[in-house]
Amino acid sequence: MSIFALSRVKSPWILHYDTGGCNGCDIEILAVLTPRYDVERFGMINRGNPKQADVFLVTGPVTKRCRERLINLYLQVPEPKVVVAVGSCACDGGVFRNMYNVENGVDKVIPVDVYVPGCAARPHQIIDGVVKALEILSKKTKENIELPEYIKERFPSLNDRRKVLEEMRKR
Amino acid sequence: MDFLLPASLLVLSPLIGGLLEGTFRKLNARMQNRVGPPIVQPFYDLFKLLQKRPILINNYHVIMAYAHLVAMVIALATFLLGGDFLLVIFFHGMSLALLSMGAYGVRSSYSQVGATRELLHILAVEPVLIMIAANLYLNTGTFLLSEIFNSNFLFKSMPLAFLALVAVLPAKLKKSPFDVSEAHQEIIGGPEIEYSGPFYAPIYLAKWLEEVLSAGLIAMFFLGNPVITLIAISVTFTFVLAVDNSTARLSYWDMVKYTWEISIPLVLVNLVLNYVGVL
Ligand code: SF4
Repeated sequence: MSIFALSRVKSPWILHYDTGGCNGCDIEILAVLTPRYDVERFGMINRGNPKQADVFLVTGPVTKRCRERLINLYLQVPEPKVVVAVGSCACDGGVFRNMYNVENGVDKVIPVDVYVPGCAARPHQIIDGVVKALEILSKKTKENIELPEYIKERFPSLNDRRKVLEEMRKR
Repeated sequence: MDFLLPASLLVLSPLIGGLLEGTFRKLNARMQNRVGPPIVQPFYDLFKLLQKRPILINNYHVIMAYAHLVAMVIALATFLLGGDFLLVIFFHGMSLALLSMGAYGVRSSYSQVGATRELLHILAVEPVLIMIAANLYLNTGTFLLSEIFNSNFLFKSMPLAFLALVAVLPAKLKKSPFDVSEAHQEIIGGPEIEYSGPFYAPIYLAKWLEEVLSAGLIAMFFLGNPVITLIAISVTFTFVLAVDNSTARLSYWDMVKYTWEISIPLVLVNLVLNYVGVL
């Protein structure tokens, strides 16, 4: 493996966003950073900044209000990127499934690469999920841009999509 | 003075800086009872940043990132090749100013707040360095580093000036309690927030060079015996990291107040003591 391919896997910077879950999974994600689990040994740091992130950890069932923000954050993360849905409710709605105010899971809104089940997902599983995500990340390059379904539906032509991306970049 | 050592140090400075940063992170992790990343982690980070898709906000913003790096390289080169110490201070201040000018060029409010705080960093750090330069002049009779480097164990005659330098190192290296401009939990990186991928790389690199420059500043006080120099650098950096891990961030106003009320008087006292011949 060349140093470039290796470095892509070795330095995943994390962005974490709660789309309206109960916060159980968020506490577990923070537990992953503590001395007991210490994900920094894999080079992961919690950046809190979409523009410098590689791995997008999403928890929660995506409430209707979070939807736009989730898409906005997703588009701000530069490629190559991977999305990990953490927790049952991020995978398919979990305990919130079919409630009037939720979208039933992250993959209804943005493309998801890895699903980490569990309510709440345990720290080991989250680490496992991110390591799996890194395998996927090592195969992605900056050229393959995936867009959320929502954008594809609203902007069928490639030119329009390009304009949307331009708009997003300006924010 | 021998030209080979400083030139090779300059060429190797990205390598040294990266390893220094990696050691910092490792040491930081050990202090928190963690395993920590490998020492070469910063290089992985840099190479990864270069491979990300570039997201351009505006040209000015990006040019300022590169200008920041170039000014830092000039500062380091002037320092290592034995130029004028005042020039080093000037270019160091300028590189911080360029970073903050770039940060003013985008609409993100975090970036704007960070830029203002970056200017306060200059206000906190640079006067102390200038005072140290004045003190050096009193002791060695020159601002030229090539002649200052010929001195032997300057710490003996200016211990208080060294203490002042240690007191501003957290502000210079953006470590707690004076990491007000970066403040990751508060303004998420401040001036660097809008830089992404390959455009963040020059800023990341400049940080390493800043560490090398700080190491050089420490070494300046302990020249003569390489072993003592290395010990001094590692002890000082370990101390800065220990402070980083055991304190919370103070407000930007506190930072300026501390440096102006503690560091500058320290150097002044040292200056007076030198002048009357006590030290
Ligand atoms: S999966 Fe369960 S614990 Fe996690 S956020 Fe959803 S409801 Fe909370």
